[in-house]
Amino acid sequence: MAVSDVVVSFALLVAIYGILSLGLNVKFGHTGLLDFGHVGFFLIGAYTSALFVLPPDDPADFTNYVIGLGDVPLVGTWVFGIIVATILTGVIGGLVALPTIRLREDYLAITLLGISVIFQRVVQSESWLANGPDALRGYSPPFQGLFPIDPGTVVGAVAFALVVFVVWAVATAALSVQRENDSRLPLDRIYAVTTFGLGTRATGVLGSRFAVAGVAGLIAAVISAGLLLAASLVLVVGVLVSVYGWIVVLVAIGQHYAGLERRELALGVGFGTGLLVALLPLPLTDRLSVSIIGTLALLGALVYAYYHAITSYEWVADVKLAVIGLGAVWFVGIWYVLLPILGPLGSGDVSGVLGTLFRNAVWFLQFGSSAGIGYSIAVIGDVTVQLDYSRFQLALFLLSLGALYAILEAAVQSPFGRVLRAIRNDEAVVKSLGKDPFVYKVQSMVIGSALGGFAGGLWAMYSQGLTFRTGAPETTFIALLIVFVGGVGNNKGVLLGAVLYWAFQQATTQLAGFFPPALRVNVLAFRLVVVGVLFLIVLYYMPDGLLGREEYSSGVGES
Amino acid sequence: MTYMAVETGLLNAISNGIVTGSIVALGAIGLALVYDIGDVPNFAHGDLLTLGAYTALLVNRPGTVPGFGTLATDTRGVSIGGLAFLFVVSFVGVLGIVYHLGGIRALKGGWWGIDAPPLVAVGTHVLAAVVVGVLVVTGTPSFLAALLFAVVVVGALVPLMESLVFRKFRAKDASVAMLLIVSLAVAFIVRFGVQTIFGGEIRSYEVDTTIPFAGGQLDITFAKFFDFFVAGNGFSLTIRETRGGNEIPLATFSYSWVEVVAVVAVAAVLAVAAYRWRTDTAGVIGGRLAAALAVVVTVIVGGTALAPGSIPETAWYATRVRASPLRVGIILTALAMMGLLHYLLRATTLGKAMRATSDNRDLAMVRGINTRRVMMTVWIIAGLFGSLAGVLLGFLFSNLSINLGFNLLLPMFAGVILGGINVYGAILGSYVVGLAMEVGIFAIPGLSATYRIPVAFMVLLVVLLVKPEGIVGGN
Repeated sequence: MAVSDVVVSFALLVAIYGILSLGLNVKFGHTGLLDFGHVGFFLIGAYTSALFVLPPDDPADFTNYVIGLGDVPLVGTWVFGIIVATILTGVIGGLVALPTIRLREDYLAITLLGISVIFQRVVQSESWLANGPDALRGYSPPFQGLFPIDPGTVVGAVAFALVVFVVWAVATAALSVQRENDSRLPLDRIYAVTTFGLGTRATGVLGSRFAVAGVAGLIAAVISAGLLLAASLVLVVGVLVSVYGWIVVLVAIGQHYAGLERRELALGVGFGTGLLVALLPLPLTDRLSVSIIGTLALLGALVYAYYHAITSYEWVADVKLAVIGLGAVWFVGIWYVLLPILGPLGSGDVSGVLGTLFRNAVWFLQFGSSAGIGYSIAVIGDVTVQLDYSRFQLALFLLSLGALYAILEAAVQSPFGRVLRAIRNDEAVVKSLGKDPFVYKVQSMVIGSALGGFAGGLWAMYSQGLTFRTGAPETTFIALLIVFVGGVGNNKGVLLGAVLYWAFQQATTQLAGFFPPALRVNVLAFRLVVVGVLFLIVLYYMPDGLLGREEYSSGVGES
Repeated sequence: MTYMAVETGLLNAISNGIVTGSIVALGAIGLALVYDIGDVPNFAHGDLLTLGAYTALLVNRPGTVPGFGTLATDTRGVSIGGLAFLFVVSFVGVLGIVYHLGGIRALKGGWWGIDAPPLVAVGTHVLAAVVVGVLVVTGTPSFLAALLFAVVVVGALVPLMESLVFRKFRAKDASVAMLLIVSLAVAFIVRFGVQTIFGGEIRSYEVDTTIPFAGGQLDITFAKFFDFFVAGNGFSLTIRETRGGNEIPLATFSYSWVEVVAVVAVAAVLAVAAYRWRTDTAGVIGGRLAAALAVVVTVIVGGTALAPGSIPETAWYATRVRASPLRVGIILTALAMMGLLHYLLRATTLGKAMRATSDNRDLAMVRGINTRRVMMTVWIIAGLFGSLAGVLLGFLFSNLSINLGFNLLLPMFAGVILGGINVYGAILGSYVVGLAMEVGIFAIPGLSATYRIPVAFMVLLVVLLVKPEGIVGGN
């Protein structure tokens, strides 16, 4: 599996947990309702949407569930299933809220945890409902049958174009933000090209940068579909989109750390390199005790050095988060670019090195599968490329995430959102102004739970199999962690939190690969211990998260 | 005479409920104290039970504990090094518990409530630590030594939660919501810390369940049948057990209605008298406890004296209760621990300080009560009682899983809130919850055993919605 495929599966999880945590953020971050049972809605959403796309059950095949509407046209589709799941979880969230929402916050937390445990137990023990304690399997995610796509057909070209649309629109939106910052790079010119001239002129007509990004994405999608149908230029489009993505990512990193001085940059790079060195005992020795003790000792030394530096030197303390961030970026960079080519580099295989670099650079396409289109490139040799299903799924997920995020942002900035925050801050004031907090709290529960249900539907799609463990309380804990890391009540922060959490998870999953299978459970448990400790540190030192509470305009007194 | 077939019924569910309630109560005591005095609704409390249950494995099955296995000779035997390790850990555990009560000054007797020369106090503490260490080492790998070891170690570890985590957050004026989330994070760390060491496999204790009893051998996990008969001429009870496929009667007790009425009347009179005698005293045995003790003593004395008789041929109502000595032992252990706690709260300086802090912390501080010591005591008790409950639970279920304690968290919270967040209320509430769990499973058709916890939770929900201050009534 190429490194870019790892990144794609990481992004899928970020999208799912981003939506789940946005739901919790509506409840806790914006309204102050501490829902320890958020995972219950995730569970219901997942099972509901799966039951809509499953074929009818067959007791002879040891499947047994209450409905299976997969054979019904229109109803038995993912779109319909997820819509129903979202509405259903919203309604259940409201029903749960009606009697319980008046309880004081510790009782509310216990009660909602209890309700989620009940949901889980019902799924586990009612064998007629959804296969009882056994896994619910036998469905496939939407449009999977189209893959690997045939770029010569209209359907294939449309699927390909959809992915191009999402990537192009996201990249363009990001670039439009970047070009407003002071930069020595010719970002305006790049923006003009990638928006097909719209960016400089049509902003007034189209209204916002997001509209421009959308239209630019649409144009890019149409063009790429045309290129595919006319000449099967899969690789060309893939390279173009990949390069565009790289430009945006590198500019983003460059701008983010532009304010750092040289010694601060060196410190960040040193931190990232130190992290890499600390992990070296794992691949280098086969003796488990040596590698575990060595790694832990080196990590301990690194953490101590960092702690010593931020407590002793003021200039380090000023950039303590930037150092970690830069170190992480550096670490990821080495992992993405350098580590995959170490093997061929060691054996002096130049074309192998270049081939690996090329495959990882063109992240938009999957290489080396049996199906796909063959190309012959100078130096690198023959490659087979295709747009695989996971990238298509990622486009769908990102589209959902973007849409929900936009709707939520609009909602929290509306008068409705202001009332929610007022309830969080002081309920008595809201009451005195003639608004009933009860109504708003129930509405907040409905919206948050519906988002949880939506995320559950995506999870069902992603995991392709559900068990009652889907409703384990750990998931609520992770959603809370994500909300707190980014910033309570800050939707952008929630997305950042989801990215950070899953980056940590992916990194540690890769590390677990160095341990014998018998010890994997222990290693994976240990990383949850680390997550817990990090959570405590965040809660203690940064209770407002990395991005802090977002200051929304009051809408009053501004003109 | 043929013996009529007797089915288990409501009475059996009730007896199960009392066993479940005993374990829930042991856990809930610590939870209630921490909630009441420490102001933390501690979501990590369930995982303390898990921690206790797994710690006992170090003594009970040392060979199966990763890392520690190198000091073991086989699954249950321990080398000299291993024994030394267990001794040192127990020794440090006991002194650690004392240390939590106020540092070096506590070791010198600062918490005793009476003035004693420091040397005497230090000597006593060290002696106690040595005794516990010797008991653990000589008892290895027996279940009781494992229990003692787990209780001491967890009792010393749990207060660290307060001093390393919760105290710091409290110093920053953290809100209740924040403390809730912090406790959830601590729960995560404890649960997966245990899993990091022990892995994912399900474990169990190895316990020699036969003990010499009245000249024979008694298997404490082996169920005995208690058959109750209500007939026209009276009430009788016979105890039986299965041996080699046949049911053998062990003992029979039979009472005519006149005898029953007489015992009840005597018990009532004695109870009223005892209540009058002890009520309005601040002593260890108050009015209600005295009345309850009077009833128990009367029933035992009367029941033994009037026992002779035989089983009726036909009965209006007959029901069977399955109970093993282990289950009875759990109930008695819980009662004994509650008695100890009651004594601590009523008769010692520390206990009085705890009650005063619970009533009004600011006033207690003004009056010169060392509230930090009270806080640490609360956490120590949470650790001691919680680990005891965890080990007993692991023995009763005969398997240990990582979710052992978390599964009991909701029933414990239900018991605590039901009792209005105070220790005595929590004990009562826990028995209500335990009974509701078992009777609910028995009485509601189609409800499988998986629903035990939801049933406990429904009780809590109803109480919260109808009478949020708890059944005992708040202040």
